[in-house]
Amino acid sequence: MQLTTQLLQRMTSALKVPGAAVRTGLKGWLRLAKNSGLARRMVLPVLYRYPQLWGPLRRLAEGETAPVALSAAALAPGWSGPLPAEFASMPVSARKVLLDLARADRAAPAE
Amino acid sequence: MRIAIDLHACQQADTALARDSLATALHLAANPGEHTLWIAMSGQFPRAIEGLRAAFAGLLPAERMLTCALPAPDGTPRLQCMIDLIRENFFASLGPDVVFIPGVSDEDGPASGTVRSPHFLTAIGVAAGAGVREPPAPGTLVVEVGADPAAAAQQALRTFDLALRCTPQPAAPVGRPALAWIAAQAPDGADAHACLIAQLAAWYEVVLILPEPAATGGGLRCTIRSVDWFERHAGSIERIVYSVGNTLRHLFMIALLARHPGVVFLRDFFLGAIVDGAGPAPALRQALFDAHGFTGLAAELASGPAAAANAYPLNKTVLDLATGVMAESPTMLAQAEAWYGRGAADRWRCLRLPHDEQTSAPACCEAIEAFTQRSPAAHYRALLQALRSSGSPRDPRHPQLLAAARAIAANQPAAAPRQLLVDVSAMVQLDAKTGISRVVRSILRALIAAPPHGYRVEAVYGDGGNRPYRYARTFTLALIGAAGIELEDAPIEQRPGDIFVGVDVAASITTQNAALLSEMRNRGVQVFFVVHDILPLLLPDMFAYGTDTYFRKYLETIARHADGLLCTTRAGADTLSQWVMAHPAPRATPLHIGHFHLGADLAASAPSTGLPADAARLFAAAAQAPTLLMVGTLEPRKAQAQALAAVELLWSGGVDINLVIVGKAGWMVEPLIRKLKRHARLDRQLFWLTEASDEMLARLYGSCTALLAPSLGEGFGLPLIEAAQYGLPIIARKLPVFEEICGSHAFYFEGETAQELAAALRAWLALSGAGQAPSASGLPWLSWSESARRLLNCVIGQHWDHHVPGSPGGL
Repeated sequence: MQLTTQLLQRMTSALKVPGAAVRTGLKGWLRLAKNSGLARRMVLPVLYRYPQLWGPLRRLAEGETAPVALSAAALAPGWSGPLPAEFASMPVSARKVLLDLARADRAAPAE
Repeated sequence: MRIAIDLHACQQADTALARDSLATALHLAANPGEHTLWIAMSGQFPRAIEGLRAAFAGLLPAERMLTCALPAPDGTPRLQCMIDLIRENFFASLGPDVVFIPGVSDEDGPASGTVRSPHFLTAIGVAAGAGVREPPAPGTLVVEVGADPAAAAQQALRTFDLALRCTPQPAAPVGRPALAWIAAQAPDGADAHACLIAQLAAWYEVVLILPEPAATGGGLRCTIRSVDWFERHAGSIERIVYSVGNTLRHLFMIALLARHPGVVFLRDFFLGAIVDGAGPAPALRQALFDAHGFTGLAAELASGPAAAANAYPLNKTVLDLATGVMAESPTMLAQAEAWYGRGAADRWRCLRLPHDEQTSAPACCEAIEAFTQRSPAAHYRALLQALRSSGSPRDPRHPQLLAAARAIAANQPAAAPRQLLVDVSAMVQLDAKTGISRVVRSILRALIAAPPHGYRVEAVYGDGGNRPYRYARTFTLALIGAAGIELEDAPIEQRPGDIFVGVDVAASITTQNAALLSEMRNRGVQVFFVVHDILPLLLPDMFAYGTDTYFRKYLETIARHADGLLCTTRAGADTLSQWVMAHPAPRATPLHIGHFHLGADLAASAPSTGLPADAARLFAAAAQAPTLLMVGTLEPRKAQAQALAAVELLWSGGVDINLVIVGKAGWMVEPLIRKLKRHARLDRQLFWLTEASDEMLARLYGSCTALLAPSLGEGFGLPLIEAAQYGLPIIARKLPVFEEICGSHAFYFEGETAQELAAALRAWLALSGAGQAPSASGLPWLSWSESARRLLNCVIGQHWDHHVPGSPGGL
C-alpha cells in the first residue's frame, strides 16, 4: 500500500511538471482510453481507484498548468513563524485559532 | 432556564444507568416547558452519535443537537488539561444556566466526566439509590436517575431551579473600568449618543476615541483621545464600543475592529457607503463575497458595482469581527434575519435611542458587560488565556496545538447564514459535457441566483481518500464569469444546520469519502445526493466492465451515509426505493427518497456557441425531407444502432428521411462508429455531430421534424424537454420515465428490433402527414430555477416520496 501511495504521489507530481518524461506516455494512454473499449477497461478502473488523478490528467490533456498553491504568507497574513505542513488543508477557522494559540502575546489574540 | 444535557456518558457503554439517563434526557426534550434545551454529544465516541440523533429527532431541532469536538487523549496531563478547558469552553459558549451530565459513574472518581465553569451550574445524574462514594466537587448538583424518567426529570428541574434562585446574577461592573467609545466624530448635544455616553460615566471611565480629537463637542463627561492613543493603550482596555454608521468617516473603524475586537453599536444597517467609497472594485467584490457569497458577485456582474452596493448590505465583515452587536432599532434585527437567515440576530441587543432615554444607559451597560464577559467571543479569549496559563505548547507545528485548534474551531457556534454546499467533485476535475454536467451547471447557477432564505450557496469538491472537501471557488468564479477577485479553494467549514447536496456523480470519490460524510452528519450537517439513475445496476451489460461494481459501492455508500436521496423522476424514486429496500443499509435513521424534475433552459446553463462548417448542408437536407434528431452520447443504452438500422430499412423501402445523431463516441459502440464513418449516406441523409454547441443544438431542435428517443433506460431525458421547448414532436420508447415526463405529448413505441422501430416510424410519419401526431407543444417543462426550487423543496422543505426505515440494531 505504501508503495502504491508513493507511486501515486510521484505520478501526480510528474503530471504537475511541464515537460516531464511521463507526459508523452500518458498522452498516448489518454488517447487510447478515449477511443478504445479495451483501453477504457484498463484505464477507468485506475482512475476510479485514484480519482485525484483526473485533475492532473485533464490539465495535461488540455495543456493547462497546475494551479499555483497559495503561499504561506497568503494563507497566514501577518504571521512570520513556522507553520505545520497540514496548514493548507485546515479550514480557515482552524488556521485562525491555531495562529491565535501560537501568538506570542496570547493574552490579546487579535492584537 | 437554558439547559445543556451532556450525553457523553450515554455514548460510552450500554449500561442500565446509561439507558436510564438517556430516557431522562428524552423526557426532558419531549417536555421542555418554558426551558431551552441542547443535547451535546462527544466527538470522541462517534459510533453512538447517529443513534442518539435518531432518538432526539423530532424533539429538538438539528441546531440544538451538537457534537463537542475534542482532541484524542494521548495520555499526557498537559493535553488532558487542554481537553478539559476546550470542553468547558464548548459548554460556556452555549450560554447555559445548567449543564446536566446524566449517567456519571464515580468508579473513576467523583469528578470523572464532569465540567465546571463559573458561567454555569453543573449537575451530575447518578444511579438512583447508589449515591456517590465521595462527595462531588463543591457546587456540583446531584440528581438521581432511575427507572422512572419522568420523576428523574422533575427532580432535576426542581434541583436546577432551586440552585439558580440561590445563584447571584451578574452585576454591574466593579470599580468604574475603562470604556473606549470609538466614534467618527464627537456627538453634539442633540445626539442621543451624547446623552448615552454621559450616562455611561456612572459605570465606566469613558474615553471617547476620535480620528480627529481636536474637533470635539462640548458637554461630554469623558476624556477624548486619538486613535493613535487607543492603539497604544488598547491592550489595557477590556471594554470597547464602536459606534458604526454608514459614511466614509467610519472607514477607519474596520481595520481597528480587526485589531481590537469590541462591541459594535450599529447606527446603520447597510454600511455600503463605507466599502463602496473606500477604494477600488476588488474591495467591493470582496465585501460582496464576504457578505453574500457568489450571489453578491453575480449581482455585481449583472447590475454593476454601484447598484450592488446599494442593493446589498455590506456589513458582514463588521458583524463577524464584533464581539457583540447593539442595534439602534428593531428594524435592524429584522433586516439581519431577512438577509442572513434565522438566528442571525439572536445575540444582538436593541437600544432604541432616543426613545428609551431613561432605560437605555442601564441596558447598554448590561449589554456591554454581557458581550465583554459572557459572549462566545469573550469565552474564546478566556480559553486562549487559560490555555496559555496551562502551559500549552506554543509551536503551531506541535500535534497537541494542532489538535486543539481543530477542535476549538469545530466547536465555534454556528453563525447565520447557513451553508448550502453543492458537491461538484466530478465537474471540477473534468467537464465531460454530458447531460449530468449540464444539470450540475444549471442547478448551481440557479441556486446562486436565488439562494434559499438563510443559506449561502457554495460549490465544493473532494478528490477522494477522505481528504477534506474544499470550496470550489475557482470553479464557481469561472462559472459565473467573475474576475478581479482571488479566492482560495480552502477546506470547507462545517456547522450544524448546513446542507450538503451531491448534485454531481463522483462515484469513487464519494465512496472513498464515506468517513468524511459520516463525520459531517455527526456534526449536524444534513447530507443529500442526487441519484440521476441506477442504470449501471439495472442494465449492467450496457456499461463498461466493472461499472456496476463501483456503482453498487457508490450507491451503498450514499444509502448508508446520506439523510436523503433525490431522483429526477418519480419513477426513478420508486425504482431506487425498491433497490434500497432490497439492500438495506446499516443505519439508525430513516433514509428519505424523493424526486424533482430537471429544467430545460439552454440559455440558463451557460450555453456554448458556434456552428460547424458543414451546418448549412445539414439544414438544407432537413428542409427537403423529414429529419429525425437523436441527442446523446453514443452508447449501447441509447440504442442508436437500432435507430440507424430502422432508418436503413425505411431507406431501402424508398422512404425519404434523414437521421441526425448528436453525441460523442461513448463506450462499447466501436462497430457502430465504424458503420457510421463508412456509411454511404453519411453527410447526405445521415449526419453525425460528435461536437455540437448549445447554439447548434438549438438550431437543430428548431429545424428537424421529430426527436427520436429510443433509449432503453434513462434517468430523466433532458433532450425530450428541450425538444418540447422548441415544439419539436417526440417519438420515444415506452419507458415509465418518458411517460412521466411527456404524458400524452409524445408518440410511444415498443420493441428492440429494427423492424419494430421502422414500423413505428412509418406509423408516426403517416400520423404526422395527416396532422395527427402528438404535439409536444403543450408538454409542461420547468425552468432551471423552478427545478432548483423543487430540489430545495425536498432537502429543506422535507417533501419526500418514500421513507426507508432505519434499523437501530443494524449499527
